[in-house]
Amino acid sequence: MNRLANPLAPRGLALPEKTSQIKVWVREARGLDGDVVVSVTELVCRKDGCPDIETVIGIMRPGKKIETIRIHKSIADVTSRDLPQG
Amino acid sequence: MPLKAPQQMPVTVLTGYLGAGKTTLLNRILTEQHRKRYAVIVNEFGEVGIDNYLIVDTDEEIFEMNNGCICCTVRGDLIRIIESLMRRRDSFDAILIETTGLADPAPVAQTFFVDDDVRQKTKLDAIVTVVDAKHLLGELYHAHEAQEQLAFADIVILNKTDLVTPTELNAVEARIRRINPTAAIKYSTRCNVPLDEVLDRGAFDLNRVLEVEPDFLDAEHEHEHDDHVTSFSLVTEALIDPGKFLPWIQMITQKFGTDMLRMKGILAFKGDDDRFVVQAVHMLLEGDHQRPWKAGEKRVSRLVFIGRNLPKGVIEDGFLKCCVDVASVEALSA
Repeated sequence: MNRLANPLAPRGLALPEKTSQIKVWVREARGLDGDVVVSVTELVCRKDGCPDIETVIGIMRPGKKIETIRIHKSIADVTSRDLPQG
Repeated sequence: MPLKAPQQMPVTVLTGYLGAGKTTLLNRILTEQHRKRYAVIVNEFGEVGIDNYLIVDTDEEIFEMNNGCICCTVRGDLIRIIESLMRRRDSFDAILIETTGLADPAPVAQTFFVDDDVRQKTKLDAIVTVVDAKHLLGELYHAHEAQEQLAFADIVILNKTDLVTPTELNAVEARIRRINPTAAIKYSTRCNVPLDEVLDRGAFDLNRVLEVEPDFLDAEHEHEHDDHVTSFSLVTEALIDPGKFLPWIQMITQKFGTDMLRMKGILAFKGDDDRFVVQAVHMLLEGDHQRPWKAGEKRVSRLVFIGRNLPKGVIEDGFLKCCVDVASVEALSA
């Protein structure tokens, strides 16, 4: 058993352009200014009731609470239609 | 032909309590010959003013991210600045972040694991904490920030050693070790450590987890003190069952992650010829095979926890239950 299924494996580094694209979609959909920061992360959670994989988008407006959007898909599978319009 | 992944820009985080000597070290890095061009992110422009370096001033913008499964704090300003810096990545070779004397290093560190853009373009190289040998004990007594900065350190620069006696220095080092048993400690006066011992350390590479072995068997380690942040180590020579350990460590990280500042470990799994290593910053956990166990190398599993009021008994009990033959297990904890 030299290669167990490793749930802790570091996430890959394959999709830099896709992450940037999602940020652009979020900015356009919400009409965000340059001082608003958008972060995108892919999470894997094995807790009961959680999706196996999801993309979590954080919208960070200065001085305000972060707004998060959760999409139950991997970063690779997210499309602009998955983003709720502001 | 597969595309070659762009090289990740190394990022060094410089922390330290007020007056410890961070700016002295920063000025050395910016003025000495080491053939590297740094982009420097500072909180106060203050005393730093060096030609030919890109220096960016910023304010801490801390955001709490809670998606139900993982809670963490991130620095929005760093995400924005790094995105901007990476658009002109040919202008420099590495990034240095100087935090304020009262900064919490956790949001800085977590930023490099949370945002995928930042994570793909940069890699956290090491957290370097400068401490003042003369004043550290007093600072630790009244400032939680000073303890947390030590807790997060991969490298501690124990500065101003010329201002204390050898006995005092031993006491300071022992106190540092109690909070952080895995950091490399470098003695200095005026931050005169060789820069290659501070930069390009790869301290967050899974390949280098627990390079500095803590004093696992030192019974003197365990005594009453008033530290806000403490550490403990768990060791066993019994082989670990990955089917038990992997869900358990995820549960521990989820349950105690808010107070677990850093965790590192090496595991010997039953039926596995490779060392398995884990590390966590709060709830952000990763682990992987590292290298084969060497012939004659003792297959010992070790976990080191650094955190605030972590329930050692509960964690130790759970860890020992992950051993393959639970009945015969004896913990060698420190």
